[in-house]
Amino acid sequence: MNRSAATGSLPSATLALPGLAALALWLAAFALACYTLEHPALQSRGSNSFWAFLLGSGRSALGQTLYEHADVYFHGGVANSSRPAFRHLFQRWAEVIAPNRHRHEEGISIFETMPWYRWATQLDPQNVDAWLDATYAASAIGQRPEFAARILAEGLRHNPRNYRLYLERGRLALRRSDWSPAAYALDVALRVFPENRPADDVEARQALLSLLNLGSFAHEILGERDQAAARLRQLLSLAPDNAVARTRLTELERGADTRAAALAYLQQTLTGEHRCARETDDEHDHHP
Amino acid sequence: MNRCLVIARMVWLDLLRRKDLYVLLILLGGLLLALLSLNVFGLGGMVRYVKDAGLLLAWLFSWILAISVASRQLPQEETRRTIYSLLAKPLTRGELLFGKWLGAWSVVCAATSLFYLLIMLVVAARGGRFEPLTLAQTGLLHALGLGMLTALALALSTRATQSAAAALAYVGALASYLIVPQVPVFLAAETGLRANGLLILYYALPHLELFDLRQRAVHDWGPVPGALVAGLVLYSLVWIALLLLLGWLGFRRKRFTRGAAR
Repeated sequence: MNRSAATGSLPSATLALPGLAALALWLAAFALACYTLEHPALQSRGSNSFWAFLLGSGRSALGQTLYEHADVYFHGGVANSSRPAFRHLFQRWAEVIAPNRHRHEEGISIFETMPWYRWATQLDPQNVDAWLDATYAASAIGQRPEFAARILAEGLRHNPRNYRLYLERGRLALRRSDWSPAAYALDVALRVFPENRPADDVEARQALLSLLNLGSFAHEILGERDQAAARLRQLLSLAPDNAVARTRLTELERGADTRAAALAYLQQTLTGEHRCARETDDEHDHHP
Repeated sequence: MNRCLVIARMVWLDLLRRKDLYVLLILLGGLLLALLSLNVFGLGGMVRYVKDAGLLLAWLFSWILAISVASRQLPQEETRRTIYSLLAKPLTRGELLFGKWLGAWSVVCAATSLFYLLIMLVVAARGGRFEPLTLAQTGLLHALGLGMLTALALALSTRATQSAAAALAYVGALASYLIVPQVPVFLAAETGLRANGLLILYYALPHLELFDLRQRAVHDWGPVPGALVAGLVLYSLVWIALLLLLGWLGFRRKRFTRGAAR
């Protein structure tokens, strides 16, 4: 009786065991693949990376999509939508389902954006905007400057001659009152700043002005008055109407102790520097 | 109605025998585990991306399952020649069609519930949770959207082969989900004939995007008003009835030839 029961159960056991073994092997292989994809050896070689091999140039497009998704998270899940030509019942329903108000994540919930920045930068390490936004989110909103510095260091490993990343490193150091590293980072940014930018490149011009302005603050606070004055002169040659820079230069040339005033100006500059690209006066709500 | 339930039961048994569902479940589980194992700049404690990616995968897999199950029902009966024995029974073609839809829709909904359950477990393991009422609304509207999708695929399969019906259903579903909601934005830059064409598309195609509450569930926006849910239930029932009616019109006088290869 027992023997027949044993032989009766054999076929189902012989069928189930290989299936379970195959499933276990598949899961193990999958987990191993996920682990190895995270390995630095596969992440750090830019165009020779695993993702570049797998997706080719399509990885940039996919990375950009993930970067845009991070922006949606930054805005509390609200997608950036264009204005419709008409309003109808379906749209009113859609607006109830997905409100189009403007708000930003605040505090530690900002770190929910990080997985998307991580994937965006893994797929396209040359996406400097993604590195910069992740750094800004971690430092200015998440209040984790040491974490932001780690992100920035990784971004710089992939983009060692990008002035925008050095500018952000300088800005981050200024926020932490690390004047020497700030001055160094801003000097490097100035050195790697491309010389032959087109005259109508507004973004680059604005970045150069920021570089010179922040660099002058860092040197001024460190007591390196000549270097601070040199940056202010260069800044005034590009923006002669900058009254604050002119006043500061005059004070420096007069030989006055300007460090306290520089600190005050710097605080104003750092708090007023960021402006959300989506902001419009009629639909802004930072405090949902 | 009993005859419809018998047909629906056959659809369930067919899916359980085919193992599609198990493959999708294992794949979903594997992908969710992979998500959990990702290193995000050395940070921990984030859960929203797991909810987001998990629900996206549940949507994707449920659409794949809905279209593949619904589009193969009638062509498969014809290929296996079991359609003759089915039609020889005291069963109208309308009952056969409705039973097939009911079976396909209910089995896909059951599979989707399993996907949701798996996602909830993974999210809970990560230390997060969904707001229950919002998740219930998300699931309900998801199920209604799947009802429309299965009706569409089944209606197409009454006059097309399985692969053609599936392909057309994918195109229609993706257009409804991705393009139709953008029509009011496109119209801002269009005039004349093209604008009229876009308007016709806007009203003629189903609005599947309205059945997607994933962002509300992921970002904890809370439930939508009950009146809106009731409106969407009504809207989906109208579409399901319309698509099944079209399917029935295509199927009721269809002639089957013995030996015709599909």
